[in-house]
Amino acid sequence: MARPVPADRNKGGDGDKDLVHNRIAVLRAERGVSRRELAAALGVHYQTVGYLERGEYSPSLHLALQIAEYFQVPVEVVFSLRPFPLIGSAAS
Amino acid sequence: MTTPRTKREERLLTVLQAEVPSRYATQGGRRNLVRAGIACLALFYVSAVVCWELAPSDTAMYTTFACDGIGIVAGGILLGQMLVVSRGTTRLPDHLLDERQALEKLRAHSSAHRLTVILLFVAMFAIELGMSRGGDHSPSAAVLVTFVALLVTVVALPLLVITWRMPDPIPDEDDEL
Repeated sequence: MARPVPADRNKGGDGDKDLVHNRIAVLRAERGVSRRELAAALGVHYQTVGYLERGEYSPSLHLALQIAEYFQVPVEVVFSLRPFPLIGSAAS
Repeated sequence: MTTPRTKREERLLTVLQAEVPSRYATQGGRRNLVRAGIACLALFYVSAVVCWELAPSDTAMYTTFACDGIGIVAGGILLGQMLVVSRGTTRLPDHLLDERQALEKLRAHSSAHRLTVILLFVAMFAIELGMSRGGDHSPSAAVLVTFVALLVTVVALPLLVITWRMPDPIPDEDDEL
Protein backbone atom coordinates (compact mmCIF):
# COMPACT_ATOMS: atom_id res chain seq x y z
CA MET A 1 0.00 0.00 0.00
CA ALA A 2 1.09 3.54 -0.63
CA ARG A 3 2.46 5.19 2.48
CA PRO A 4 1.47 8.85 2.71
CA VAL A 5 4.29 11.22 3.57
CA PRO A 6 3.64 14.79 4.71
CA ALA A 7 4.32 17.11 1.80
CA ASP A 8 6.77 19.25 3.74
CA ARG A 9 8.78 16.22 4.84
CA ASN A 10 9.16 14.60 1.49
CA LYS A 11 12.23 12.78 0.28
CA GLY A 12 13.61 13.52 -3.15
CA GLY A 13 13.04 10.98 -5.88
CA ASP A 14 16.75 10.46 -6.46
CA GLY A 15 17.90 10.42 -2.86
CA ASP A 16 18.80 13.06 -0.33
CA LYS A 17 21.12 14.97 -2.65
CA ASP A 18 18.13 15.97 -4.76
CA LEU A 19 15.82 16.62 -1.83
CA VAL A 20 13.16 19.13 -2.84
CA HIS A 21 10.41 19.85 -0.34
CA ASN A 22 7.05 21.00 -1.54
CA ARG A 23 3.71 22.22 -0.26
CA ILE A 24 1.55 21.07 -3.15
CA ALA A 25 -0.72 18.95 -0.95
CA VAL A 26 -1.22 21.82 1.50
CA LEU A 27 -2.01 24.32 -1.26
CA ARG A 28 -4.28 21.85 -2.98
CA ALA A 29 -6.21 21.07 0.19
CA GLU A 30 -6.41 24.76 1.11
CA ARG A 31 -7.98 25.58 -2.26
CA GLY A 32 -10.13 22.49 -2.52
CA VAL A 33 -8.50 21.29 -5.71
CA SER A 34 -8.44 17.56 -6.42
CA ARG A 35 -5.39 15.78 -7.80
CA ARG A 36 -7.18 15.11 -11.05
CA GLU A 37 -8.14 18.77 -11.44
CA LEU A 38 -4.60 19.92 -10.78
CA ALA A 39 -3.22 17.25 -13.10
CA ALA A 40 -5.61 18.26 -15.87
CA ALA A 41 -4.64 21.91 -15.46
CA LEU A 42 -0.93 21.04 -15.61
CA GLY A 43 -1.30 18.50 -18.43
CA VAL A 44 0.20 15.65 -16.42
CA HIS A 45 -1.04 12.29 -15.18
CA TYR A 46 -2.81 12.51 -11.79
CA GLN A 47 -0.38 9.95 -10.43
CA THR A 48 2.42 12.39 -11.21
CA VAL A 49 0.79 14.92 -8.88
CA GLY A 50 0.66 12.20 -6.23
CA TYR A 51 4.33 11.30 -6.70
CA LEU A 52 5.23 15.00 -6.51
CA GLU A 53 3.32 15.37 -3.25
CA ARG A 54 4.91 12.22 -1.86
CA GLY A 55 8.35 13.52 -2.84
CA GLU A 56 9.07 10.54 -5.09
CA TYR A 57 9.52 12.77 -8.10
CA SER A 58 11.13 16.19 -8.41
CA PRO A 59 9.56 18.31 -11.15
CA SER A 60 11.36 20.06 -13.98
CA LEU A 61 11.75 23.81 -13.68
CA HIS A 62 8.98 24.22 -16.24
CA LEU A 63 6.52 22.09 -14.27
CA ALA A 64 7.51 23.77 -10.98
CA LEU A 65 6.80 27.19 -12.49
CA GLN A 66 3.51 25.91 -13.91
CA ILE A 67 2.47 24.67 -10.45
CA ALA A 68 3.38 28.00 -8.85
CA GLU A 69 1.47 29.84 -11.54
CA TYR A 70 -1.57 27.62 -11.05
CA PHE A 71 -1.69 28.45 -7.33
CA GLN A 72 -0.74 32.08 -8.11
CA VAL A 73 2.15 32.09 -5.66
CA PRO A 74 5.90 32.53 -6.12
CA VAL A 75 7.69 29.25 -6.83
CA GLU A 76 9.57 29.40 -3.51
CA VAL A 77 6.22 29.24 -1.69
CA VAL A 78 5.63 25.81 -3.24
CA PHE A 79 9.17 24.39 -3.39
CA SER A 80 12.14 24.64 -1.09
CA LEU A 81 15.48 22.95 -0.60
CA ARG A 82 14.90 23.13 3.16
CA PRO A 83 11.93 21.60 4.98
CA PHE A 84 9.00 23.97 5.35
CA PRO A 85 8.29 24.96 8.96
CA LEU A 86 5.35 23.13 10.50
CA ILE A 87 2.14 25.15 10.80
CA GLY A 88 2.02 26.66 14.29
CA SER A 89 5.76 26.48 14.86
CA ALA A 90 7.66 29.69 15.74
CA ALA A 91 9.36 29.84 12.34
CA SER A 92 6.06 29.78 10.44
CA MET B 1 1.65 17.09 -22.35
CA THR B 2 -0.76 14.12 -22.42
CA THR B 3 -2.91 15.23 -25.33
CA PRO B 4 -4.45 12.51 -27.50
CA ARG B 5 -4.45 13.36 -31.21
CA THR B 6 -6.80 10.66 -32.46
CA LYS B 7 -9.83 8.75 -31.20
CA ARG B 8 -7.67 5.64 -30.97
CA GLU B 9 -5.17 7.41 -28.70
CA GLU B 10 -8.04 8.70 -26.59
CA ARG B 11 -9.40 5.16 -26.13
CA LEU B 12 -5.90 3.86 -25.40
CA LEU B 13 -5.38 6.49 -22.71
CA THR B 14 -8.74 5.72 -21.11
CA VAL B 15 -7.85 2.04 -20.85
CA LEU B 16 -4.29 2.59 -19.68
CA GLN B 17 -5.02 5.34 -17.17
CA ALA B 18 -7.58 3.32 -15.25
CA GLU B 19 -6.84 2.31 -11.67
CA VAL B 20 -4.15 -0.35 -11.30
CA PRO B 21 -5.68 -3.71 -10.19
CA SER B 22 -5.35 -3.97 -6.40
CA ARG B 23 -3.22 -7.15 -6.53
CA TYR B 24 -0.55 -5.14 -8.35
CA ALA B 25 -0.74 -2.10 -6.08
CA THR B 26 2.07 -3.49 -3.97
CA GLN B 27 5.68 -3.99 -4.95
CA GLY B 28 5.41 -7.70 -4.11
CA GLY B 29 2.45 -8.16 -6.43
CA ARG B 30 4.14 -6.36 -9.30
CA ARG B 31 7.40 -8.23 -8.87
CA ASN B 32 5.55 -11.57 -8.83
CA LEU B 33 4.04 -10.53 -12.15
CA VAL B 34 7.54 -9.84 -13.49
CA ARG B 35 8.79 -13.20 -12.16
CA ALA B 36 5.92 -14.93 -13.98
CA GLY B 37 6.89 -13.01 -17.13
CA ILE B 38 10.50 -14.13 -16.77
CA ALA B 39 9.30 -17.72 -16.34
CA CYS B 40 7.41 -17.40 -19.64
CA LEU B 41 10.53 -16.03 -21.32
CA ALA B 42 12.52 -18.94 -19.90
CA LEU B 43 10.25 -21.31 -21.83
CA PHE B 44 11.59 -19.89 -25.10
CA TYR B 45 15.16 -20.59 -23.93
CA VAL B 46 14.20 -24.11 -22.84
CA SER B 47 12.98 -24.79 -26.36
CA ALA B 48 16.20 -23.29 -27.76
CA VAL B 49 18.36 -25.56 -25.58
CA VAL B 50 16.25 -28.59 -26.51
CA CYS B 51 16.65 -27.73 -30.19
CA TRP B 52 20.42 -27.39 -29.87
CA GLU B 53 20.56 -30.76 -28.14
CA LEU B 54 17.97 -32.81 -30.02
CA ALA B 55 17.08 -31.14 -33.34
CA PRO B 56 16.28 -32.37 -35.89
CA SER B 57 13.85 -34.71 -34.12
CA ASP B 58 10.16 -35.00 -33.25
CA THR B 59 10.97 -34.44 -29.57
CA ALA B 60 12.64 -31.12 -30.37
CA MET B 61 9.77 -30.09 -32.61
CA TYR B 62 7.00 -30.92 -30.09
CA THR B 63 8.93 -29.35 -27.22
CA THR B 64 9.46 -26.17 -29.22
CA PHE B 65 5.80 -25.93 -30.19
CA ALA B 66 4.68 -26.59 -26.61
CA CYS B 67 7.14 -24.21 -24.91
CA ASP B 68 6.79 -21.39 -27.43
CA GLY B 69 3.01 -21.82 -27.57
CA ILE B 70 2.64 -21.62 -23.80
CA GLY B 71 5.17 -18.78 -23.72
CA ILE B 72 3.29 -16.76 -26.31
CA VAL B 73 -0.17 -17.24 -24.77
CA ALA B 74 0.76 -16.89 -21.08
CA GLY B 75 3.43 -14.30 -21.80
CA GLY B 76 1.00 -12.27 -23.89
CA ILE B 77 -1.52 -12.21 -21.07
CA LEU B 78 1.15 -11.26 -18.53
CA LEU B 79 2.61 -8.54 -20.75
CA GLY B 80 -0.91 -7.15 -21.16
CA GLN B 81 -1.20 -6.97 -17.38
CA MET B 82 2.19 -5.24 -17.17
CA LEU B 83 1.08 -2.75 -19.78
CA VAL B 84 -1.91 -1.83 -17.59
CA VAL B 85 0.20 -1.75 -14.41
CA SER B 86 2.82 0.52 -16.02
CA ARG B 87 0.02 2.54 -17.67
CA GLY B 88 1.55 1.93 -21.06
CA THR B 89 4.57 4.08 -20.27
CA THR B 90 6.95 2.03 -22.40
CA ARG B 91 4.59 1.69 -25.36
CA LEU B 92 2.75 5.01 -25.64
CA PRO B 93 4.14 7.70 -27.93
CA ASP B 94 5.95 10.55 -26.19
CA HIS B 95 3.22 13.12 -26.73
CA LEU B 96 0.89 11.02 -24.57
CA LEU B 97 3.32 10.94 -21.67
CA ASP B 98 4.03 13.62 -19.12
CA GLU B 99 7.59 14.47 -18.08
CA ARG B 100 7.73 11.88 -15.26
CA GLN B 101 6.44 9.11 -17.51
CA ALA B 102 8.80 10.13 -20.30
CA LEU B 103 11.70 9.94 -17.84
CA GLU B 104 10.55 6.51 -16.61
CA LYS B 105 10.32 5.32 -20.21
CA LEU B 106 13.82 6.55 -20.91
CA ARG B 107 15.21 4.86 -17.79
CA ALA B 108 13.43 1.59 -18.58
CA HIS B 109 14.75 1.54 -22.15
CA SER B 110 18.22 2.44 -20.93
CA SER B 111 18.28 -0.44 -18.43
CA ALA B 112 16.74 -2.80 -20.98
CA HIS B 113 19.44 -1.82 -23.48
CA ARG B 114 22.20 -2.69 -20.99
CA LEU B 115 20.56 -6.04 -20.22
CA THR B 116 20.14 -6.71 -23.95
CA VAL B 117 23.84 -6.15 -24.60
CA ILE B 118 24.72 -8.63 -21.83
CA LEU B 119 22.16 -11.09 -23.18
CA LEU B 120 23.53 -10.83 -26.71
CA PHE B 121 27.05 -11.54 -25.46
CA VAL B 122 25.82 -14.59 -23.54
CA ALA B 123 23.84 -15.75 -26.59
CA MET B 124 26.86 -15.27 -28.83
CA PHE B 125 29.02 -17.49 -26.62
CA ALA B 126 26.20 -20.03 -26.21
CA ILE B 127 25.66 -20.24 -29.98
CA GLU B 128 29.40 -20.49 -30.55
CA LEU B 129 29.52 -23.33 -28.03
CA GLY B 130 26.52 -25.03 -29.63
CA MET B 131 28.00 -24.75 -33.11
CA SER B 132 31.39 -26.06 -32.06
CA ARG B 133 29.73 -29.06 -30.39
CA GLY B 134 27.57 -29.68 -33.44
CA GLY B 135 30.52 -29.66 -35.79
CA ASP B 136 29.56 -29.02 -39.39
CA HIS B 137 25.97 -30.03 -38.77
CA SER B 138 24.50 -27.25 -36.61
CA PRO B 139 20.69 -27.43 -36.59
CA SER B 140 19.23 -24.40 -38.36
CA ALA B 141 16.03 -24.80 -36.31
CA ALA B 142 18.04 -24.22 -33.14
CA VAL B 143 19.46 -20.98 -34.50
CA LEU B 144 15.97 -19.83 -35.46
CA VAL B 145 14.47 -20.75 -32.07
CA THR B 146 17.33 -19.00 -30.28
CA PHE B 147 16.72 -15.92 -32.39
CA VAL B 148 12.99 -16.01 -31.52
CA ALA B 149 13.86 -16.26 -27.82
CA LEU B 150 16.17 -13.26 -28.09
CA LEU B 151 13.61 -11.28 -30.06
CA VAL B 152 10.84 -11.92 -27.53
CA THR B 153 13.20 -10.99 -24.69
CA VAL B 154 14.21 -7.71 -26.32
CA VAL B 155 10.55 -6.82 -26.88
CA ALA B 156 9.54 -7.70 -23.31
CA LEU B 157 12.53 -6.29 -21.39
CA PRO B 158 11.49 -2.61 -21.13
CA LEU B 159 8.09 -3.66 -19.82
CA LEU B 160 9.65 -6.07 -17.30
CA VAL B 161 12.09 -3.40 -16.13
CA ILE B 162 9.49 -0.67 -15.69
CA THR B 163 7.07 -3.02 -13.88
CA TRP B 164 9.87 -4.18 -11.58
CA ARG B 165 10.93 -0.64 -10.71
CA MET B 166 7.52 1.03 -10.51
CA PRO B 167 6.75 2.83 -7.26
CA ASP B 168 3.44 2.06 -5.55
CA PRO B 169 0.56 3.89 -7.22
CA ILE B 170 -0.91 6.78 -5.25
CA PRO B 171 -4.39 5.98 -3.92
CA ASP B 172 -7.08 8.16 -5.46
CA GLU B 173 -7.99 10.62 -2.72
CA ASP B 174 -10.21 12.82 -4.84
CA ASP B 175 -13.33 11.69 -3.03
CA GLU B 176 -11.98 13.11 0.19
CA LEU B 177 -11.93 16.65 -1.14
